[in-house]
Amino acid sequence: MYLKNNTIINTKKKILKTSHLSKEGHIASSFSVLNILNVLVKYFLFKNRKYLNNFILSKGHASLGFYAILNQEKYISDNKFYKFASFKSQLGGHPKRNESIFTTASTGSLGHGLPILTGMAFASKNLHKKNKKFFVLMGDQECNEGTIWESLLLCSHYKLNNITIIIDRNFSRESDLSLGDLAGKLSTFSKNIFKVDGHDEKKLLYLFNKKNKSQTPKIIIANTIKGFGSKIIEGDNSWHHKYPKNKLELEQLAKTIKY
Amino acid sequence: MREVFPKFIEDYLIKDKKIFVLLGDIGVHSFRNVFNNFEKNILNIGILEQTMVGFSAGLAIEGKIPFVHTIAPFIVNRAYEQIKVDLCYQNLNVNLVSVGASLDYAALGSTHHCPEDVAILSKLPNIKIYCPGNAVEFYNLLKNYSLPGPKYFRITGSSHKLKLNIKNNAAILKKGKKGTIVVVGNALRFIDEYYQELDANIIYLNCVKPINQQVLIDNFNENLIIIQDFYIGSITSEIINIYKNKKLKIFEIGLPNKFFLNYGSAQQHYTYLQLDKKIIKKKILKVLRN
Repeated sequence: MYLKNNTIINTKKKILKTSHLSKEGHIASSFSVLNILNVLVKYFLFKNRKYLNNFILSKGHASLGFYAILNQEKYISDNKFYKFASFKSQLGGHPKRNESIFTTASTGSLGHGLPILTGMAFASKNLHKKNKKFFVLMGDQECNEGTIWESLLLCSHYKLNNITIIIDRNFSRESDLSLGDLAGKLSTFSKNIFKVDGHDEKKLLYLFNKKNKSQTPKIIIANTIKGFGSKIIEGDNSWHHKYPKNKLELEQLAKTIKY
Repeated sequence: MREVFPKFIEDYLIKDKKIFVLLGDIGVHSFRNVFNNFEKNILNIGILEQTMVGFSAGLAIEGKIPFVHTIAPFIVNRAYEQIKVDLCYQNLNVNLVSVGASLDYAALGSTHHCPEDVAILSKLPNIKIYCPGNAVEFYNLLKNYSLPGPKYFRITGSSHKLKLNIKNNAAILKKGKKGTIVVVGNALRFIDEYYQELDANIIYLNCVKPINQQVLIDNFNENLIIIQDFYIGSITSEIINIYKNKKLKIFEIGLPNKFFLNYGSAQQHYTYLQLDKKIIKKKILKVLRN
């Protein structure tokens, strides 16, 4: 049982509205990672409201969720947020690199975020001798991509314990190509793997904060429900890339949001 | 030409510590001095080209100026999407330096050939493509390393013998009346011994993207010959666009669009493909006569 969080419920309603207005957005994937993004944006990606340039949303199709949290925390205005994916908008259906809107890397094609973040973390730790933490959020099926495993090889070889890899484990395509014991597969690359309920913000915060005493990246397998919060979207995979067609559908969906 | 690359890196690392070299397990021995003297500025990252390009983007975001080096097909073909998304779309300053060019690894077969590199890379926005014709030019072109955006340097095993007065990546070798010959990089070796006998404007280019448009416009002749050491057609559309509505007769000399299934030496391939100085001269003279 989850605690009712009115702020997140409101943010999800805004996601629905923006998706309706723009006729775009991956709602279910955004709901899946919203609690993770909420914790990251609130506690790890900004200092004195300045973006630390330390995060890549590698599952770029959840961009609407990222922008929604940035909007919720007043980094992005309503005006900008509601123009999501419109012709002149900086906020797209997949993010485009622009540090002034808190976007470190252009993503969308899967398997690009971790290699880029590995290069950044390597430069920061091994070349600039900085003590900066880097975060990447990937989808579980993104782990199909070979570049993930290539990068993990580098992360462990170069002892990049300044990286936290968060895997959104929503099992959305598990039946088609099973990742099976994902933690087991990852365990040869990291001594620092945690499984957590990806909707439990307290536990997420604890794990993100937890000191990494190993010489390997921290990997957090966040078990999530795709479309979390709305029973209609949770149960229907057709919501992977679909927008509320009209006001009635928008209102009906908004009513279903419980978390 | 190849030995110029580590030399350049050694020379420039003395003053610019932002330089960072990534080797894809290729050329490691030739960079031994860099490994010995600048160990914090070089990595043999291994055989993971796609991630190597993504990694280089990350280094660039953190303020380094990466050089990424391996055999041409492994970077251009294997990591094409990473070049497109991570480097070109994000417009990051990363220098890609390939070796092997079209047929230098003749005996190793088509997996190691890359006659399509110029054609496919030139379709990506933001990238600059340099085709040095000899070691001196290569060293000079490498000085562009700190310019914004991604760059591709094409190291070839063969070179031309001329000392040219190159301005904005182009040189006018001579003026003439019967046609215009555009010759790129190391392909100048096909005509460097007799070019003065040809009654044509002869334009040399060692950068095909962006191309020096003004030189081509100033030296227009509707009888156009393009000479290249990569697939025929790689830069044709770019040149046609420059000449827009003008009537053109184009004759191309270069590699035909096929896999080169023999082994042996590069020279044997060029001979077999009739890319031989004497035969090329005959072909050019015939075109200039018409």
